Amino acid sequence: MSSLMQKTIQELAPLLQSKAISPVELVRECLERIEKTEPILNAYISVLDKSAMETAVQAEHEIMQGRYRGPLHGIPYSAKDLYMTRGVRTTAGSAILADNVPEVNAAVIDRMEEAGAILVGKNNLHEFAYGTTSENDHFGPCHNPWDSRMITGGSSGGSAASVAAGSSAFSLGTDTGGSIRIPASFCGVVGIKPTYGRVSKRGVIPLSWSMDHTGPIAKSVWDAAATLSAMAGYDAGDVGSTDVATENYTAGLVDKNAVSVKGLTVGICPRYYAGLLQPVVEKAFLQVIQWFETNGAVVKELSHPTREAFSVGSVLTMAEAYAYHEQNLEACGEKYGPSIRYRLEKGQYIPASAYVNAQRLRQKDRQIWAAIYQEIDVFLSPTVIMPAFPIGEKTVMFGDEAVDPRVNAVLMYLTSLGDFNGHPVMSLPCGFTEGELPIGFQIQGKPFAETKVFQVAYAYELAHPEISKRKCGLWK
Amino acid sequence: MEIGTLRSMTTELCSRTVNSAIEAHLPQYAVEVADVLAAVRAAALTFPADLAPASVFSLKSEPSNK
Repeated sequence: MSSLMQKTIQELAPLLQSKAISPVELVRECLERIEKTEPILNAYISVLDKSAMETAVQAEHEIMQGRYRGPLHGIPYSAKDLYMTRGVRTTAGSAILADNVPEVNAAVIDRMEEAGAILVGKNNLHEFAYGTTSENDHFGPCHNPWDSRMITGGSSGGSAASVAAGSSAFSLGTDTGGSIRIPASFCGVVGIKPTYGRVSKRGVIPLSWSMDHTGPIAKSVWDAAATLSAMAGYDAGDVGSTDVATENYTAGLVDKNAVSVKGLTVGICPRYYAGLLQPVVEKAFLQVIQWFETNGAVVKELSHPTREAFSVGSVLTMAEAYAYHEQNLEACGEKYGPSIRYRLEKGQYIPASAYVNAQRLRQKDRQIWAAIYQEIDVFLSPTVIMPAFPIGEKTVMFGDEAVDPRVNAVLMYLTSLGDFNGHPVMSLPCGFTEGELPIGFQIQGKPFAETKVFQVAYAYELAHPEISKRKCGLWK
Repeated sequence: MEIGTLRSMTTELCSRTVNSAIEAHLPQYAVEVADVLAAVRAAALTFPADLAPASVFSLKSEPSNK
């Protein structure tokens, strides 16, 4: 079956610019795709069919008049239902905000409007983004497009599912412990958590102010680069925003010499996940390392990170999330899903000294990484220690220990390090299980070196079309 | 960690009510919080005195390799 929604932004943008296709035609196909896949995926909380079609008509008019804005003009996209949208319900996946209709847009939603992208809906997620399975107690679980019995990962589960299924061309996610990269990995798409401060968080409902990041989930590396280019930029209204010049990341993907791993030094740290990876993930990641070596990269084994950062980093999220939710926990705690409530309430027992020392450890960790990056160009790891598992699974194995994935941070063991140190990290597909479930790996770069991350990822993606071009079963 | 300590923290330090949801989980919280606080204390033993918390939170001064 051929559909415009199977195409990447890189393929669609020239068709829109040359008027070979119309935004109206594209948005209509997207809405039809949503209608077809939603009974299976439950990837959306709200679908904005009327406003999306109205915006598509405007975009068509602009393009016909020769006022083409760029690669996102006329492209249908979705946003995790954590991004405030003016006049459109924004629930955070919670009963507490079931009737919340903001009066303003999140800064990034405004940026998408300026770029001409068309919002088609708000994606389902793990409640308040505090979880990694996207089994939502209020709106139902998100289902994985590769096998609807499986979780999508989370918390941006609906975002990744919709991109993989073609019910949006790209989606806006958030990442506090891995919430962009985990579902990107489980759903076989690309997700990047940019450097802390690179993209505004203004108007995005917080989970943990010093750990939260916003970023895109897309079908391909080029698409993620185009989307991040439109998202990024300083925002005086976001206390965490950093005034560093932004780039057109797709421009960095044109030069074939730059899109290469030859001569790079690549860090890995197998001791960090020794004994924890499921064999199928370990095998896929070993093949990634072999590919880098075969193509001229030098692989350097590191002794950092350590498990210390993983344990201590959770203190920051526990304390900050509790501070944000404290009043609602007291006033209407019963409205939270049970596993979220359990995790949030724990934050009240973190003493101030522990919080401050966790932030001090973060500074130490950043200093260590800065020294490491004097000797490496990028750092690689698997994205998650296992592939997706069935919705409702009571326990999964974390080494020799059986743990509940809803209250244990097992799925973010490899991703939360990037939120702790604030570096840019991308997840992209690197293989599949025998049961056709995607596996991902991560590329981490220096702060504000997103271009390097994109170049390395693009080199890998171009060399592996058998992985990057594979479509999920919903297209059959 | 004593469960009674957590109960007092809820009521006296946080001005909260020990509702049934909290009460049911106090034994688990006592174990999990003790573990994570021990991890923080162990990490803090390695800190030099002049180690300040990360600024909230700029990486601007650090070099990039674009």
